[in-house]
Amino acid sequence: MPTPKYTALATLTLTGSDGSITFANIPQGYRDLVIVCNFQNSGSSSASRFQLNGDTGARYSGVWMNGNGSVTGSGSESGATAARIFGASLGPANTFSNLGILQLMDYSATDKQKAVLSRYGSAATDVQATSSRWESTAAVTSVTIFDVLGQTYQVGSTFSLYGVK
Amino acid sequence: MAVKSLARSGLITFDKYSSMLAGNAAFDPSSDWLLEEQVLTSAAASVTFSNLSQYASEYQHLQLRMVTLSNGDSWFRLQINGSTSGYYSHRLIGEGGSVTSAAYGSTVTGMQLFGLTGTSTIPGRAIMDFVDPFESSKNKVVRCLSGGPNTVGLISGLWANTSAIGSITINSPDVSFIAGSRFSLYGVK
Repeated sequence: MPTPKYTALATLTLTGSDGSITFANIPQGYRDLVIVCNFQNSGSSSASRFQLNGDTGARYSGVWMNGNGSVTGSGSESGATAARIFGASLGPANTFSNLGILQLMDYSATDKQKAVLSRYGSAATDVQATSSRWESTAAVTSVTIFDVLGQTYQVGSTFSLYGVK
Repeated sequence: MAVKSLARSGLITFDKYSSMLAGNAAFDPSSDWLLEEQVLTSAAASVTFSNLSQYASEYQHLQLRMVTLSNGDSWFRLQINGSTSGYYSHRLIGEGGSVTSAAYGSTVTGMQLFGLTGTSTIPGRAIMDFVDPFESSKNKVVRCLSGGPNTVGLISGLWANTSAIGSITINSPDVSFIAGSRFSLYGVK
């Protein structure tokens, strides 16, 4: 029998600027997680990354590509202490021009490393797609998204967590 | 005539509710539904969802979400209704050092999917959207976001056929999906 797909689990709407947000104690009863980010940042040079289960070890890798209207680019990394999701130059400061969606696939499975697909866009800067990996077979119980260039997410920024059946 | 007094039946608790839901959960008319799923318990070179016409009356679009483990690094392809012709696609693939763009058409036997292969522990992953799969007035269009340990890809595909989609097959000419791979099919109203 068909099962409803999306369950809204939590939404964080910032009432003060913050350099990071965390979804903790994530329930394990879904297949995937989706995080929708609509945010403004305090500086135009900014880069967001994520960590799972508070793991700050060198266990993240990824490959990405982007286009900014004149050039395309691609990069990769391994052994990072956090996974890249949204690259640098995330749109003009203090404008709601940043939209990103993260897909954490099979987040509760314990037989495979954790795979993430993300897409990001800012009409002011560029469009990006990233394939990330956390080199752990542990089930994901928390997700932290933060800026690594010292910027903060501004008041009104929203981060919504959904479970996918 | 035997009379059962409800006052003694235990069915009446005299609970009072401020909501007409009376303690029941609200019905949420969701637009997105998990229709069926395949989780492999052994290796398979091909995964098929068939008899999809059963969903035509209730759903407008389909989405296939895949997390795959495989026994080698290769490419996979999408075939619709078992057809080996009529496929066209454009892809944009990031491989770390470069971004490549390519187009395929007419001579390919399926819609090529890149970035879907992983290893035995590192999953490939993809989210594939089938827009209007049951419309008999349109050729079939597909978009895919995919990623693996070494690639990320955006793929736009066309099956130049107006037949309603009755089956979807994901397969590879070279390698197999292995146990633990998951394929989930969703309907969108």
